[in-house]
Amino acid sequence: MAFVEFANLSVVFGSGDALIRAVDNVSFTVEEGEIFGLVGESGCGKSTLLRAFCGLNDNWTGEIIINGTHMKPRREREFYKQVQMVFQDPYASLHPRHTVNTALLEPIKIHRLDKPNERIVNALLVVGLGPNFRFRYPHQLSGGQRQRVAIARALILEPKIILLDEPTSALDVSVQAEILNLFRELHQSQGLTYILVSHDLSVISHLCNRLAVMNNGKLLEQLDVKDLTGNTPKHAYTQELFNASVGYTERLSESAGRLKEGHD
Amino acid sequence: MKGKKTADERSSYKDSWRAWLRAEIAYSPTQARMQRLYFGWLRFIENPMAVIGLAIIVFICLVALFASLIVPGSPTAQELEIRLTSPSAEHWFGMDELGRDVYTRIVHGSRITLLIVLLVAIIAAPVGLAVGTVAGYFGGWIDTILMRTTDVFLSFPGLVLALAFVAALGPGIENAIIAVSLTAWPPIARLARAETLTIRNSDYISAVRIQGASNWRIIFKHISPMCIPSVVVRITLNMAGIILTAAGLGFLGLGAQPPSPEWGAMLSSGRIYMFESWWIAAMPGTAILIASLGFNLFGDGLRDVLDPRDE
Amino acid sequence: MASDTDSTGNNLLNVENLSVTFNTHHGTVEAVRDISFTIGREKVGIVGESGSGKTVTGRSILRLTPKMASVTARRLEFGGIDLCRATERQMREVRGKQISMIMQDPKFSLNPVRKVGKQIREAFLIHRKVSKTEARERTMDMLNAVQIRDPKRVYNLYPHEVSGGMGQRIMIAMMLIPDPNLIIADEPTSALDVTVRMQVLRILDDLVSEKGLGLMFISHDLNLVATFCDRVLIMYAGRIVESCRASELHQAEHPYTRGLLDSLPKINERREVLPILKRDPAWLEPATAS
Repeated sequence: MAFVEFANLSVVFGSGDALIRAVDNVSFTVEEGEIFGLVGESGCGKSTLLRAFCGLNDNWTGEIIINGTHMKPRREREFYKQVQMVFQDPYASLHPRHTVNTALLEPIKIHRLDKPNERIVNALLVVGLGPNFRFRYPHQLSGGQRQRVAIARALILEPKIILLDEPTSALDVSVQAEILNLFRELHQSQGLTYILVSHDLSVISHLCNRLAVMNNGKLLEQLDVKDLTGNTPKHAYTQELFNASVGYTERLSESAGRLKEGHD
Repeated sequence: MKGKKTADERSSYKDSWRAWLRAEIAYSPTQARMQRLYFGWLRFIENPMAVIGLAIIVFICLVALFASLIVPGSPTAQELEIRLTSPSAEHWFGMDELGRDVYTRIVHGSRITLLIVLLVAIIAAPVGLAVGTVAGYFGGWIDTILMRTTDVFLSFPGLVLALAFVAALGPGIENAIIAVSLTAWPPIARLARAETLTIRNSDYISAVRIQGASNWRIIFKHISPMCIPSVVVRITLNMAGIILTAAGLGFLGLGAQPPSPEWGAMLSSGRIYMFESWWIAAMPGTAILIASLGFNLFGDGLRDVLDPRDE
Repeated sequence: MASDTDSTGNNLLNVENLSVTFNTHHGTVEAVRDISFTIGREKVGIVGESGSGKTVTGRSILRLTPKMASVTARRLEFGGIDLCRATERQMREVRGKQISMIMQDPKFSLNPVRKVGKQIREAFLIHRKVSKTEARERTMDMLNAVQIRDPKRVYNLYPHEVSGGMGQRIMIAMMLIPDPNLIIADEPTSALDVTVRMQVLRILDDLVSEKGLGLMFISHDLNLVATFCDRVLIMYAGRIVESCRASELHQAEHPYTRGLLDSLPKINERREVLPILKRDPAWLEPATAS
């Protein structure tokens, strides 16, 4: 039995002419301890899917099954100790008026956990930040430091599944490497399961073993990461994404973009 | 005792405070907050107009606080023989129609003005903040009900609304304060709602939602702090209007009752004597002007410092 | 720093010892420190991380830096005009007409309440005195040049009605219509989807080659710049630490460049742990050899 299963998940916004199928009948599974990648460009539904999964969005249809339990639209508080999320923009995911300490204390208070001090100090250590960072405000931190705080915050409740929504796309190249390494390390030391969403195939191929490609709300295909570079036949769109991530070349770019912006 | 320290010790004491405020690393929540205030203060004092506004407010506060020390006499004592005398060396602002020293009355009247302004702010700001954040966060019918109520209040001109309430409740300073508060909260609610609508979709709010925070916790601890700067600025800028509305009520005899030295009431009773004894109306009028100006300048300066978008 | 001349030996932009300093509450910040480079009729990429000074460099050429910034240079010359000593009036002649700037996100650089066609037309009319009809014609031509297939329809759209890629192409049209000689593009494709990015870059590439323009391409994306541009300048902490031909970037010598290249995850080379860039304080000092 898979650890996480999505079955016929759909998220629909609006109605009538303005109906948008943000997520259209998506099904896939994730094994325990796996790092599963979800690739697609903006508007493909990957972030909407994550939000439906973690309970931020409750107008979905279909099935979300975690460890055998079927999820209802309204989550119970215990759920949040199982699933947490790290957001894309480190400049927007920390409350500007709260210190790091307050941000880390919040989940502890909400769930009435014991030993708050120890938990906070430990969480900061685990993500590579020392106790000096405890009483800083977000604007005093760099992008990489903020993202580390966001990761510490996600880890405080000791979840089993962490959703990563483009966690490094807003970071500098050198910082991205550090954060990716941190994710790898935490995955191994804490036995976590990740669902990693990104538009960057190189990040996905670095961390994940399996991935799914989404476009326009639909899941186009699932493949192993090693199939990306190999000669196994892929969906045309997947090939497009792959070509684009290699870099700019005049010939190939003629066909690029047509599949994305067909309505030019 | 500080006085017994040498000049060196005193300056190193000041230096260590400054070092604490400018330290790279904060070691406690208090230090973090103090540092933030310190840098906010530095930005504030860059603006000369704002500093002038603050100075005016501080001046009025000091006058109100030490009123009895500044003017030994009573604001209601009458010396009828010298009524209506013009400003002179012994009576700087002259005497009014009942032989009371205008200067003494202005100084004591500052207490009433400040009291009104403070109480209105304390009542209107939290009410407006609460209504606005709840409406903005929940949306739907809660939003509709709260905002239509706000609209009803907003559609009346301030003074008319205050008049209606005072007419129903009866004249007097306490009722005047309640009446003015009722006119002051709707714009705050509108403002808080607008801010909440922007903030509620932020990632940091989503982050705390997926920690399992209850709606009330989110509104109180996460959304309200973000609205407070604009609410504070708005209420400070509205204080001029509050002073004027209260003065208007006083002018109409519906605020503080005689012989209370409320500035608006003084203005009203001085009206008839305006051509021969201009000082009876001009002095309280100028006092109202300066107080309003002070709050306006201060509020402007606050806005420049507190704009959260800067960070 | 060796000043590489471009393919034709003719330099459009000459920058010598440019420094930009910001005076803030927390002290003085040296955003750009004594850099020198030239741009001819070629595509030059300026790559750096945040805080490297690359954006400030682009803006200081057009004197678009905030008031608290002080810009000094031994030489800042464009097509014979001394940009250091130019008056504000002269700068206005340069901006848009001779040097254009393309910014990152069309959501923020296009006026949301005006139709896009009118905005492009206005960009033209500011610098050329022609009739509105002729300006409209030129706008249509330009929209065609950026591969917009239905220019008449797009002319009347508002910025929120166009997609990111189209918005950026409109931005390019707007910036190229006055026929500038040099384009400064500040992260022009960073806000775009990966596949759309390639399309927009091809259009930019074609236009730059056709008209023989110079292009300063500012980006954080090392890979993109290496494949798109002719020459690459790497900036770190306000200085230029590497300057080479794009094709030779992967044989770069400066440890910062090497560090950056190594820390990029590569799609066909899976490594368990990415090497972390170790910042050497020596990189903050000016280069000893050139």
